[in-house]
Amino acid sequence: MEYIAIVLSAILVNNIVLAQFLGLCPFFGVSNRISTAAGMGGAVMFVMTIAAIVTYMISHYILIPFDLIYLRTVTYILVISSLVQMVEIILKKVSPPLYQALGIFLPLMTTNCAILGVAILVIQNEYTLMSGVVFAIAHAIGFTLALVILAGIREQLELVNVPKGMRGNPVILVAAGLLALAFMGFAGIV
Amino acid sequence: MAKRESTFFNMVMALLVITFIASASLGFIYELTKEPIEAARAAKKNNAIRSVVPVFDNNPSEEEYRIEVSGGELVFYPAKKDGELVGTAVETFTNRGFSGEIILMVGLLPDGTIHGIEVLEHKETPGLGDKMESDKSDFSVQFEGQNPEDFRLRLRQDGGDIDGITATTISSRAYCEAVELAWKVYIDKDADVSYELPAKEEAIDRVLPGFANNPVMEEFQVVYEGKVYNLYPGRRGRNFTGTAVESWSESGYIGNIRLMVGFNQEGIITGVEVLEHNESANYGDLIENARSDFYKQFVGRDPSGEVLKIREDGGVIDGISGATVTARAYCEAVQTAYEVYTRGERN
Amino acid sequence: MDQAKNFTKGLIRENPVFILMLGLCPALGTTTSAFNGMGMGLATMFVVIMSNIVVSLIKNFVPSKVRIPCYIVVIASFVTIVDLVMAAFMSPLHEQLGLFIPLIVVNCFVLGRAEAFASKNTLWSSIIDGTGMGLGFTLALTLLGASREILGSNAIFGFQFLQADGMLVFVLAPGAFIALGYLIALANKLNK
Repeated sequence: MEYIAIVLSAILVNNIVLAQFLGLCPFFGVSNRISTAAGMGGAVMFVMTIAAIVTYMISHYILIPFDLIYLRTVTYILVISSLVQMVEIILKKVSPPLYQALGIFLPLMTTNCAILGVAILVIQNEYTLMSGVVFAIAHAIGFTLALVILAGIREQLELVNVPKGMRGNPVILVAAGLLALAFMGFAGIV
Repeated sequence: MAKRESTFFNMVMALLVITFIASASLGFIYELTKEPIEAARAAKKNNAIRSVVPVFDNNPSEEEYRIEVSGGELVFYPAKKDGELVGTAVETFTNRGFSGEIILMVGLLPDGTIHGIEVLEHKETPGLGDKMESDKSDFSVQFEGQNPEDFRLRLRQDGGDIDGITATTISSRAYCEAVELAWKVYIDKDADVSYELPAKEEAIDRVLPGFANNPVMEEFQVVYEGKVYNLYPGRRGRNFTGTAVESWSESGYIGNIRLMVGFNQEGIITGVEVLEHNESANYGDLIENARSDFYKQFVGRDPSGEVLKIREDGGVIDGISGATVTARAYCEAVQTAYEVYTRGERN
Repeated sequence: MDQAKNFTKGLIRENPVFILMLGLCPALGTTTSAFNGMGMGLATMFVVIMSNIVVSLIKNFVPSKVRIPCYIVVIASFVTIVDLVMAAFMSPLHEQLGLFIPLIVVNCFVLGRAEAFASKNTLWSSIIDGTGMGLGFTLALTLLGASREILGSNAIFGFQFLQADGMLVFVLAPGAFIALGYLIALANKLNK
């Protein structure tokens, strides 16, 4: 029951992009095609879950016991960026097809604030490891969902005659705003 | 200056030096800001306490106590002026807000009347749910000065006395629930904590049957086995109605247990009160009359014919589970009182 | 490079938010009011200037293969300093900004300045660049915060100028996207 609440809340109610404003750079950067959006979503899910597990371990076995919580930001970002490198190398060797699909997105992960944001939220919400993993996966699904929907909208927008001043980024932002408005309808279901 | 080569040694050195300097300076800043951060946290809590209870002169955070409830715990901060309780700030919560947890500080007067409420934490919608904050709307004012005894902590549409915030039914409802939880637990707990052991006069009053004199004025001493005991005779006109004996046992779990035991003319026990003890909370303290019916087993007994010991020791008294030593000492003190009453020599 | 141009480029021509579309997460997440937007902008500005200074000082000591991790450590340290100092002395604002303070570290525009400018330029122009860019970011966040506060709660910097309910949507998440969309359209117009 607790897991269902976490999942519904992360995907629909508190969508990481549309309600919490995390991961906006890839949200606008790689949402021009549905296929790339899905690839990015897959990469985010992969890295976010691993990052949540690793930072959880570091927090509970190193930072908290030694009273070093103030080093959280430094350690997390270092761990996440080396993790991304490692995943890239391992993926290249172990599963070339997966690397082909996700590879180009991996370098973008380090500066994706959704990854670090979720890692910090897992600790702040005092989740257990299992709930933390569910939380991370659910947020990644929510991220992918938002990304794919926006990509779909953008593919349609290309065929539309947009007023000159609003072409490009402004109209995409307004579309994202309307999407966020639609997602607000889910508020209160959990 | 020439750029460093990317040799292995150079890379490791650069990273090591930078991380070392970074963590050292962060450690330094952390030490510097540690106290102000603590102070800011404490100030926030103290401000909330100050704004919900009447003026006090103690430090409520030092006297805080916690009570577990389902889903978490409530923290109580007793506010006192000149040693007298003037109000209690209760940190209460609900998980049923529109966006999750809402934490409130509710100020209650000793009789349970709500004095003030502050929101400590919430994640409700800005512009809607956040109107429950006391500086954003008058929502919280409706609670002030009301005693939930005769004021229903429910929204009007739920049959209560509270006007909800427009378009924010869920947040308003959750708010009322959190306030009600604080009040209920406080009222329940209050009966418990405000109970104090009776003074000598009061104890005599409770253990002796219908007397009209002032037994304390007629106090006399009795020596029994080398120790001096105080006895208080009760009289109505010229008839003795009974005698209260102050006795004690030194074999309590933690120190002495001091009792006041009443006997009538026939030597039948008419009542027992605990005057003093140091037994553990929730176990040994069940000997107190307000906390359990343990004492009732002694009333009406005749110690000359019945063995006033716990069953394990071959007696007729049901002990207190988890507090055998305490119950045994209590029996011993009652028995001593009887011996003193029947065999003691007037001093 | 002309220092005046170096300074002003961040304000409009290369404004990190309106033109480069960088650092959008804090730009949208913290701008429910002009004051919060400005606080976030100033915190970020401090980090940009300080990390620009340090990066430009150490640029010759750091082997190029590990330069990114080194820059990240520098930035993360300054972010932590801001985090601790704000928690100690500006606790209400710190609470409002919450998660977005530690997240300055992944603000693409901070690392971007370190990597693209400070690691290649002198100390002095790095400071100018950091100040200009930081100011541009602060300006953008304050503007966005102000327009959301004016439309959403009929107030500016906490001063209520109209006793009525505003257009709530601008305080909420969707309004952030929409308001930024129109501000970017405006900035594009001005830039021409």
